[in-house]
Amino acid sequence: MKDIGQEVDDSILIKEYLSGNDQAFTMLYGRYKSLLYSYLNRLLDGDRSRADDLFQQTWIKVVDQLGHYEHRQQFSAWLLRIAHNLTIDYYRKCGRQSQYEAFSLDEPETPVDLPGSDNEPWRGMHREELEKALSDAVGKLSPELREVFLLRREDISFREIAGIQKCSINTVLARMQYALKNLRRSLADWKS
Amino acid sequence: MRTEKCEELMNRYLKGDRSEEIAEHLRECSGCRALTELESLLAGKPERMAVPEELDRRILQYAAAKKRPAVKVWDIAFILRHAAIPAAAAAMVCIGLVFAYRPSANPPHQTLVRAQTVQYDLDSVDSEVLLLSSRIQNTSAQLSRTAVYNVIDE
Repeated sequence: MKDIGQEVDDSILIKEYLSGNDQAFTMLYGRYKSLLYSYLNRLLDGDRSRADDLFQQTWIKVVDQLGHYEHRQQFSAWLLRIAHNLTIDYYRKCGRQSQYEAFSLDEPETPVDLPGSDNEPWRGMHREELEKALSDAVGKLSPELREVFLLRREDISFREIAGIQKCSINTVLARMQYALKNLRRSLADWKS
Repeated sequence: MRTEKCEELMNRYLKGDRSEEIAEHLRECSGCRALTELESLLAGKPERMAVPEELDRRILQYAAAKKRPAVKVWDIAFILRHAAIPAAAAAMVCIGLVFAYRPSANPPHQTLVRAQTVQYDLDSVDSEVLLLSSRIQNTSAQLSRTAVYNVIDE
């Protein structure tokens, strides 16, 4: 069995695994497992058992479909796309599809726009305090907005997010703006 | 209050546009400035959570059990597309050669029929020999009688 170094590209690891090298998959899994696990836990707003279940299902699907992986796309985006599809299936199965799509651009925007202020809520917050406040605030976003925000934090491009959510880039950008506005409002509430 | 222009410029900002037009807008619009400030504040990757060992074990076990063969699907398709007909033709030629040079062998029921025929032939030879033998004996007896009569007459 070939020995693989840490710096090896994802594509090489995938090809190695498909050639029968288990070590390559262990390395690929090690690179992305925490990203996916944290992402799913945040997306499902702390529903640990559901996140565990979807995490496992996602990796099983990854293993089954690695032969069809297109090497020109980012592996993390592909992984998160699979997780997204399984999450949508989950919402659909338990009749919560409408909850996922609670936010629609056709509906009038919630009046969350705050005027600019010199005293923004995050100013003066420590990093830990901000992360805690943010975690609460993200939980209040609709799953669709939450997903855009979380994917963006994982450096997934707007184009890739549009592919994952099957919508236009402009829709994704608008969702990102709504997410930021809602977070700003929630952080202000949290601070007060 | 944020306007349509704000939305448009923010979209451009989010896509990475840092032009002077946007910088100027951000200097004037405190609402957009707040959003860009929040966005850059949150640009860092969030804290990672540890994956339970049980999940690690199950997934790695599944991946090991599902190990793929070295030949990919498109390789098999390629072989089928380009080598199947020559391979089939070669196989046909080999089969033909094997049949052509194989020592002839009669099926068991034909052998039995042939054996029975030979037996019939032998039986008929026997009967002819027997018939001929009896004729010879008869002729010999007649000759003996004739000789005796000749002796008596003399």
